Amino acid sequence: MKTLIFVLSILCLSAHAKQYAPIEAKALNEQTISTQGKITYLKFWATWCAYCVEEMPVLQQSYEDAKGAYQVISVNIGFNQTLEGVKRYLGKHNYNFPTVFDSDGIITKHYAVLGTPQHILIDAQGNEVYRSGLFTDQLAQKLAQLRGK
Amino acid sequence: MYIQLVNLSILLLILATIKSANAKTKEYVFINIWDAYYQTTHMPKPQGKRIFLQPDINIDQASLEQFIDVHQEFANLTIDTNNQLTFKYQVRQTPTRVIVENGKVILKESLSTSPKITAYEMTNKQMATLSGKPLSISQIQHDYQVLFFSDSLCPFQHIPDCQQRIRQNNQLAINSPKNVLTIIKPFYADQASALSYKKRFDVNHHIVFDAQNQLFSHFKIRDLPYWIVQDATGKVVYRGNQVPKPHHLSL
Repeated sequence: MKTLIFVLSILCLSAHAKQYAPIEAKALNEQTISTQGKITYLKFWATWCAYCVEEMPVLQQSYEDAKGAYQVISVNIGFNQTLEGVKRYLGKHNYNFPTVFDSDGIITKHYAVLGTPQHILIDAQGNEVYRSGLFTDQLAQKLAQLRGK
Repeated sequence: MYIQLVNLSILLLILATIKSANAKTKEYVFINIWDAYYQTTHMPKPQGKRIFLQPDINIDQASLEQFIDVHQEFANLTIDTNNQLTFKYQVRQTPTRVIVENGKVILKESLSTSPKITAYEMTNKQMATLSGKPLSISQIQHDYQVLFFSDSLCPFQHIPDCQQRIRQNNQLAINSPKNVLTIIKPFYADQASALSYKKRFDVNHHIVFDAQNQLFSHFKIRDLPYWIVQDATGKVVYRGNQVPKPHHLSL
């Protein structure tokens, strides 16, 4: 169901920031999404995570505001989740940001995510620019800066 | 005498064989403590040495120990650091047990549970401080200058530096405790958690447990811990996750 291809096989680490190999994955709408060469805002979440669910309107807003300045990928971590349940949840709330169902947890592992929610902003080279547990003011500012505001 | 020795040897051999067979069989039971607080897992008879594991997601050692204090039956529960066994056995649901014999999985099954309860429950109870002072949003805007939004789960990974910020807020409240209100997030917590927070962090100003999450919603709080400073008319003059500066305050 979900395909994940590591385009680069080496996970590079620098003294200042983690760098992640790009990923390709199939979203719930069957669209193939890739982080290759793109500024990407990733949010890892689950429907059972109260903090995650509370933040979802902000994620939707960040997606609507992006207008090409960055791409948004929502990653449902797939743990104690079902694909049908996730689709039902997103449909019920009319959320239309690209979402990947991480059925085997590989993407979650790739980005070393051990908690939800988790917000990660990576630049076009795959460097981690920012990471936080909640949707912080700093994250909002970084996204706004990318949009030129 | 000789026969007795032979019988004893056979008995010891049998015991050693049983012990050896059990030692080769391990039963990993993966549970999620945040679910296990609210549901009972029906445990089948062990089929080897039973080892309880908590997948490494939304967990820290302190939370694990708190859980074990309440649920002694999980005394040997440990965190599956970096989800090594969770990935190895592809456990994607909890509770699940995996029986491994001589390194080979012979059974992997979901365990049945009683129904779950949601992360927090709505209540119609009147909002009040832990000391019993009734509160409303308009009263809060009128009575308090500094609102400190916090989380009784502190210290925890999604609220970095929370202990330091709680200390900063306590410091802020020293001169004028009546002007400061700490507001506790209701997710995965209850009034008792708020009381424990008060004791743990030695808070000497008013605390309210925001049972309906209404204050967090009203003030659009997404980050934690977080400050709101209001002027005398209730207008917000500062909001942020850094302690307010003196010029924001007239305490």
